[in-house]
Amino acid sequence: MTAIDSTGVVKAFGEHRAVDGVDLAIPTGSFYGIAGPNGAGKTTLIRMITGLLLPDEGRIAVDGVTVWPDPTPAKARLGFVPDNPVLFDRLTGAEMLQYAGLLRGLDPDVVLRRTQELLRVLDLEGDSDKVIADYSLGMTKRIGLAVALLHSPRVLVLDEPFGSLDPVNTQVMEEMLQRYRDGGGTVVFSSHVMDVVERLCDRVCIIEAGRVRAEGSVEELRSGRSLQAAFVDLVGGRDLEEGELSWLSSSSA
Amino acid sequence: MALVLLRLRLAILRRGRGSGGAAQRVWFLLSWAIALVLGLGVGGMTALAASSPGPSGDLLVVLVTTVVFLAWLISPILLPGLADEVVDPARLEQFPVRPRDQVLGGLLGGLVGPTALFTFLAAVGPVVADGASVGARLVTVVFAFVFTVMCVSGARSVQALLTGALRSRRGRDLVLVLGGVLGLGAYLASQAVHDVTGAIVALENSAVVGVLGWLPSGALGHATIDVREGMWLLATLRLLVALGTVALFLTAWSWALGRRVRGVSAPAGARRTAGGPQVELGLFPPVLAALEPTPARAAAAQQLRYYLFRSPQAVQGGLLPFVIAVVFAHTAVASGGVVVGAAAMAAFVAAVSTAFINVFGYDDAGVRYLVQGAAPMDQVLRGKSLALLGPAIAVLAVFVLVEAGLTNAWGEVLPSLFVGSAVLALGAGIGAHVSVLTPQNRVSRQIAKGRALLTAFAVLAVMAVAAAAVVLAAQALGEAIGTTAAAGALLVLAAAVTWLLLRTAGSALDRRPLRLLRLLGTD
Repeated sequence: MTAIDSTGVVKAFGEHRAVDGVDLAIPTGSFYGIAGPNGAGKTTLIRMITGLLLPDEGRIAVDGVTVWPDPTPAKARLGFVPDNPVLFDRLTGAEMLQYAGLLRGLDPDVVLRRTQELLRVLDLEGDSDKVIADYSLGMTKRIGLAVALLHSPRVLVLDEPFGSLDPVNTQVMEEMLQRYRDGGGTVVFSSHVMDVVERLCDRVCIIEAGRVRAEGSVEELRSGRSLQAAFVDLVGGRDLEEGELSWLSSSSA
Repeated sequence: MALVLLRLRLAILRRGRGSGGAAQRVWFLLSWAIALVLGLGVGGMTALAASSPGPSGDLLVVLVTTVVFLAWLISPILLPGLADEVVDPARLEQFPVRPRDQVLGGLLGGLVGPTALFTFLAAVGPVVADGASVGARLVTVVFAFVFTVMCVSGARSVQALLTGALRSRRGRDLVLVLGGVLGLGAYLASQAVHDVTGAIVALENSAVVGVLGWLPSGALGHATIDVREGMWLLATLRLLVALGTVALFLTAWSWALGRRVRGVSAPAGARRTAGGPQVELGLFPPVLAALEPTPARAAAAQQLRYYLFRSPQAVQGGLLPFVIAVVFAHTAVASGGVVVGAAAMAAFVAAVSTAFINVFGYDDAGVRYLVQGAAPMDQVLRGKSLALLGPAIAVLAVFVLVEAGLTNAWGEVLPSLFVGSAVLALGAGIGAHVSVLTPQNRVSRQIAKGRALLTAFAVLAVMAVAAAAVVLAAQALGEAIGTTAAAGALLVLAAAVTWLLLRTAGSALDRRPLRLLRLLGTD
């Protein structure tokens, strides 16, 4: 059973093929990482999976439901936390969660109960009456995660989820995601930070120039090295030439 | 070091001319040309005023310097984007530049620019006034220069003092509210002052010139009059007022730079508020709390929160048109009666207020959440479109009652309420279609100006026709069944048409939600 199934997905912007024939089969209940250098096409792929960007070619299904041409049923099974969560920033954190729950068609009592629980777990209870525009980026990320989890989705997709979170909140978020996965949910996230991917994920796919360069379990991709080293080997590293920036070795007073 | 900062300012000015293509070059040259022409124009005006001894001439000279000075002080608050990046202490704190050098360099840089040129020319006009001695002419040039320095230092110190605050959300909100209040004040003042000559005479006969002449804003303007009339001691005292003000501004500017280093202007940490356990859905304002919480009502609640008064931009675009509509409709009552006035007010509000014609205008990234979260967009549109109908009808009712009282036309109250409400309802339906067809993101200001202008004219025309049709139908039908019954029947009909309009607009939106994201620039 696959949580996300994509076949031959292509998206081009003019001449540039941002995603160039991606095939993915993400197992249900897995912790799945999508890694790749800047501009590799990770976000474009995620936007197509989450029903925000129409692919030029190919097919995507979430929890067995085809995303395109009508993404609404698939979106009902998804929770999505973008890199910079998109929310109604003039609502308070509590109001935003209530709004999200009612738009999802949840019972008002359920909305109220889950709102309080999520705010407490994510350490936002004391700031629940503050408008989101006044939140720090880390708080915005946490409220974005709460909004994405409120309707208990089958698949949770996160774009660079751990940036701008302090170590304590990173740990809380990791625990929440693990618990969500233990309950049968599937977590898919993109990241540049290889040690996070290595620590959390069961499987990883590495995308470069819109194509899948490697896919498999973390152990398979590492082959005895760190995942960071494997990644650099795969996409190609850059070394400084001999003598470049040599002036940095002496102080300029 | 001050000269380095001056060169930085000149480089920024050159960038304005620079490599950005012909349009940028033309704009650069045009800004200097406009400053030159306007400065010569205002300077010529003050020269003429200074040439005609008497209260009118004195008043004009003092008023010109006062207005120019106040404009300099307000501009950093209302137009922070126009400031170059030299003044912001954060830009320079990593470099070894002393506050004194920063201030001096910033001041020198500020004196080189189109606005400074305009200011100097406007203030130096009396140098060519008839009957002035050579000494008075020379001193006038000095006064004009000091005035320009005072304006520049004033604006820069305000900018340095507020630089942290203006970057905060509350600071930006305050700027928006201040801009709206100033704009509304100017509009209401223009409506209130019908007799300009009478107003000038009243000012001449008041103590205004005397008071302004001793304030920093008008001191140097009055000093040019003093030297023309040989009152050198008074002129010297007024010059001292101006120089003292410059010293004060420079001290404040330098203090603002130091304050940042001391950490006083650093953003305050997140204040935790006591968030007790919630027992009800706080999203809903009291007016909606008793209703069943559906997605449409949730969207209406969000919209009401934004307009009352979470988003200053929404307040500006959505509520200020109500005030203008009342002023506009008051004149319509005089010519056509309360029913026509009510229809005119409703049509104006529905055509101009963003609460009707651009219901997604202030949601910005929130719209992306709606689409990404598979929200039922037809219900969201319905909730948002109808959210401000209630407050609009309340304002209409107050307007109708006041106008009926003023014109002793109590018999027109009910027909006016029905006709006005019918027009507002139609406005909500038409506005829903406009909001879907040509939405504009008022937060990011990614607006196609040509399309926006065309839309505004089209909506105004449609609403004018709708209002006229409702009024004429009420009159025609009223002859058969009575005006109140006719107006009531038209309200029911308008509600049915509005329901249909909302359904069709909602269906269109549900079919193509990504189009909305694209047009709003949030995709």
